[in-house]
Amino acid sequence: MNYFLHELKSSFFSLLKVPAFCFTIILTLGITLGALVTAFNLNYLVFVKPLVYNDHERLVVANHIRVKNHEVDSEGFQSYPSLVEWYKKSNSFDEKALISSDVTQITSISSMPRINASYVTPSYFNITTASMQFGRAFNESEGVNQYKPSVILTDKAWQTFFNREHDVLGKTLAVEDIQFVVVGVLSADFQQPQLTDFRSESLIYLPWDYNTIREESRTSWDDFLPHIQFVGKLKSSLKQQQAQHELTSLSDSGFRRNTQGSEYWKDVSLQARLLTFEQAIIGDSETTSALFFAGVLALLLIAVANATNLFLSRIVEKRRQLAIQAALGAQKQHIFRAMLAESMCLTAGALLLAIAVACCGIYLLQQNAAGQLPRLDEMSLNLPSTIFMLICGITLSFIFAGTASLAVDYRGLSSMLQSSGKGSGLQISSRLRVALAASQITLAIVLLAANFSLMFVASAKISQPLGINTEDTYYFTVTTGNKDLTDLSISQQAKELKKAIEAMPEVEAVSIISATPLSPRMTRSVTHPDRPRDFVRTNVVISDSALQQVFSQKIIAGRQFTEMEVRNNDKVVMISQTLAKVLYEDELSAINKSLIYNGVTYKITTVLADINNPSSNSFEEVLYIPSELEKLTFVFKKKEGVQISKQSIINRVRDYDSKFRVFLYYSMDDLHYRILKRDVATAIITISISMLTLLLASIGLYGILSYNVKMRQYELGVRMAIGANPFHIVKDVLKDNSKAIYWGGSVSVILISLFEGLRKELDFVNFNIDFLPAFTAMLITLLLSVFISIISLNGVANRSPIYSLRNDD
Amino acid sequence: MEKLKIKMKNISKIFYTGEMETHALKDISFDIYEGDYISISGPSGCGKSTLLSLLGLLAPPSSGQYLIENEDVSNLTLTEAATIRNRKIGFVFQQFNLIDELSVVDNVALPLKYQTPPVPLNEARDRAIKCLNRVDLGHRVDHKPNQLSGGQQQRVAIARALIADPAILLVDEPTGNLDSKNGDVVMDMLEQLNKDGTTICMVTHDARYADMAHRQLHLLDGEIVEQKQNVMEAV
Ligand SMILES: Nc1ncnc2c1ncn2[C@@H]1O[C@H](COP(=O)(O)OP(=O)(O)O)[C@@H](O)[C@H]1O
Ligand SMILES: [Mg+2]
Repeated sequence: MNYFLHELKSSFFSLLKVPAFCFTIILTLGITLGALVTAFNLNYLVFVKPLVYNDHERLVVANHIRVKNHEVDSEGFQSYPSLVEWYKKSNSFDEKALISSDVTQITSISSMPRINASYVTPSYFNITTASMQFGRAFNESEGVNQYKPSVILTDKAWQTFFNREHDVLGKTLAVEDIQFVVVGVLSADFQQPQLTDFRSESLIYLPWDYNTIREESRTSWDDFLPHIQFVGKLKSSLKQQQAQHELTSLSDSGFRRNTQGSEYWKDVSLQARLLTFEQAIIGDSETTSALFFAGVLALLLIAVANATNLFLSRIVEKRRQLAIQAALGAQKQHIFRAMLAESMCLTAGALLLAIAVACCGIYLLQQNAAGQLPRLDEMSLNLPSTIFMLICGITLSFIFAGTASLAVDYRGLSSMLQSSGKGSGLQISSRLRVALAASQITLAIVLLAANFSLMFVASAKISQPLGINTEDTYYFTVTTGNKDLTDLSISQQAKELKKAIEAMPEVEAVSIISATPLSPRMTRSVTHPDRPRDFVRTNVVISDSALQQVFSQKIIAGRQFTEMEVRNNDKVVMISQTLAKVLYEDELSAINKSLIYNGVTYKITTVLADINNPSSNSFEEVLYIPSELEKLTFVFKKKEGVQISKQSIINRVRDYDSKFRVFLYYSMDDLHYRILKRDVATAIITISISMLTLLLASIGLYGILSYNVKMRQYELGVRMAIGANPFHIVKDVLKDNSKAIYWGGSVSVILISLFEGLRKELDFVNFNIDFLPAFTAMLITLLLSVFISIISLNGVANRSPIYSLRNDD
Repeated sequence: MEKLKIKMKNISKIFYTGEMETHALKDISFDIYEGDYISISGPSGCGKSTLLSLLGLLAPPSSGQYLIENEDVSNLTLTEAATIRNRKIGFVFQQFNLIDELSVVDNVALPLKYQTPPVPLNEARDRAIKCLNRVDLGHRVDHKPNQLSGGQQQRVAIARALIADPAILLVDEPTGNLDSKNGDVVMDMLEQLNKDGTTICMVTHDARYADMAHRQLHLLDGEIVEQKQNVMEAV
């Protein structure tokens, strides 16, 4: 052991003399190992570590599915009255809770921040094993229909809104002008289960009664909503199946009773599907995180192949020293030990860098992947990750030392000292070099192909024109505070407010609209008058006649709405091209024909060009209905070249009515960007990984190929002496490297085909490697290999042969 | 008067390695005529190999003028130099420098591959076999170099140097890696080639072999200190 310590020390000092070598190995291994540890950490949470909640294996989420003709027609959306029915009547659970999440506004704070809130029934806190720093969780007094304005703060909310005051209990927080009394503060380590599709952390908890769902939807069985959920702790005597059965019978009978006589829902049954918390939280991110791990592992392997080669080259350079050691009686194991000491020094350096990289990686994931990957808040450089990292480090040390000592020919070593001739003694076998280079090429192609596949899809989405003008256009909504208004007066107010905004000199046009065309909330069905059973799902946008002025959507046939049609709620509609095609085969013949919506016949006046909405939950089929709205939601277009601030809109609204306030305000470009956020992130991540891959592969290939050239330098000099020109030499070396390129290319084709075959067979991942990206990856990698082959000849092909022929060994 | 093959006028060569300058050749001038057999001798490090390399266009001179068959070759690109090397110069090295992976005949035919356009394979092989016959190795064409003795390898190298009918054969210590018996065989062969008309310029520090040349150049510290006409030629 003492010896080994000594060995470590001397290795350390001898490595200091080759900084470029150490830098390359530590940098490449450190970055990739750090990324691997990050990926491991995530996978550990996804696959191994149990959830933190008590009896977590009994915790379930119940979702609705709609089944039509024995096929699932829709899932993930909930019927509010059915959820309440489950909550009230089911007997399968020890604890039950309802959750709804939404964005809301704190009005008792001057900046009026918009935050995420959850509206829950009292047992939510038992189910999630929540502990309190102060006060209490909700109890029956905050149960359903009690309308008791209490609020529970998370640690962060306590910090943000109350500055960690200790006498916070009993104080009030106004949420959309309702005064809620603080009854408790959750402890800092409380982990909100990310169960719904609304995957943002809630800052405060309010009683279920105050949820933001509209009164009509609360009672309507056929209105299906996102962001609400039923959760429960299964009775220990019951199987999940049995509970699912009970819930299904509750929801289905209620649904049948309440949709009687509806043509549309005739064949549909409303059923329950239970997911464990694990399933709900992890969702489909198992493959994502496994692929993440695989991708990073491939990167690490590139770096390992690279480091192995560098390590071997170093051994070759040290051959004389080794030979002397061998002559002095060093045995195989001594030499192995010396190499191990050196590789351990290097991997130790790489591990230190890896720790930093992993911390950055975890932070970046937490900041950027929230909502897309589960359990991110639990990520940290924990014990399992640290152990994993150490095991990786030790394994790598042994790999490097092992390959290097295998490459040493001990008999060759001793003869080396006698013959002073060149070429004898130690070399990296050409087969090993081909294998190393080929593996780098293979890994690079496969990784790039996968990345390019994702990148191409994302960039196609990002770059496709929307079909509506989003420049200079803004969307905003206004809340009326707790001012009492009848519906009629709201539409009246909307019109007047519209006039007020229109009067602003910066504004070109304003439209009252139910939702922006990029985020149409409403989904309904329409039919062709002659085919009353053929329901076509469409998005519905209700607006006044100014819609076209704001968005300049292309009219394919027909005309704009008139103000008259809006005022009279005339039964006319504009439809999207796709909807026109679905109903009437061809968009031109749809004009002046009719369609049935909500049981009423509408005349089609206009066909509008489709919007290429990148959001996955919108339809190409869109219905535009002219009508006055009982909502204060607007879009406006500002004049070109002038500036308009949010504040000026806020002021204008307040001038109009001091109780009114702007709730949402954003530009359509922002909305577009927000919809594309995931694609932009994908593009950025895949581009970065591609660059990293290319960088690592380049370093690695250069190491191997320039070693090849170095080994052949003298021979190349001879070839030049007998008349080979630089071009011949390049050709010759390319031919030499073509073996590695050939193998690298072929193996990657096999791997990619295998992946594609397995994917089609097993359907285990949600992305595929297309031909074009794979081809591009192949082309780029092969060109890179050729380029590096040429670069590796620097100093040989572009210099007088006398230098190559000089035998300074 | 014999035809002037090579003319070197005030040739110098300086090597720069890092901070260091090595003046390997200083102001060398001499001529070589068709059919000449010249030997260059001198102590180790005096610049013999450098001079041979310059003659063979393996490196350009730092200054001075160099003509081959009246063509100025002092300032050529790498590719131009390669072409002239290929057409007009044959090299024989001390360490034979055959390519281990190639068979004997392929080694010999290699220069033809580097011609533009490359000589067709069949023709190249035929010509290579002819050259091998000239060095008495017609029976070893398909062996690998490492299956041959040192003397045989050197003869293969000579065959390779001859294949393109060079204007001059440059030979750097051809016997340095051979025992005296094999060395004699190689030297006899060179003498025979010269008698058949090949112009030869040879580096050697073996006085016995130097005497076989028509003319001897003696180098010291990069300068020609002595030119000696051999008696043999006068005969
Ligand atoms: N490629 C080169 N780079 C730097 N110095 C060189 C090079 N080739 C030869 N030299 C130097 O030039 C001098 C002459 O070398 P060389 O011609 O090989 O001598 P000889 O062949 O007579 O032994 C020596 O000092 C040698 O170190
Ligand atoms: Mg020499």
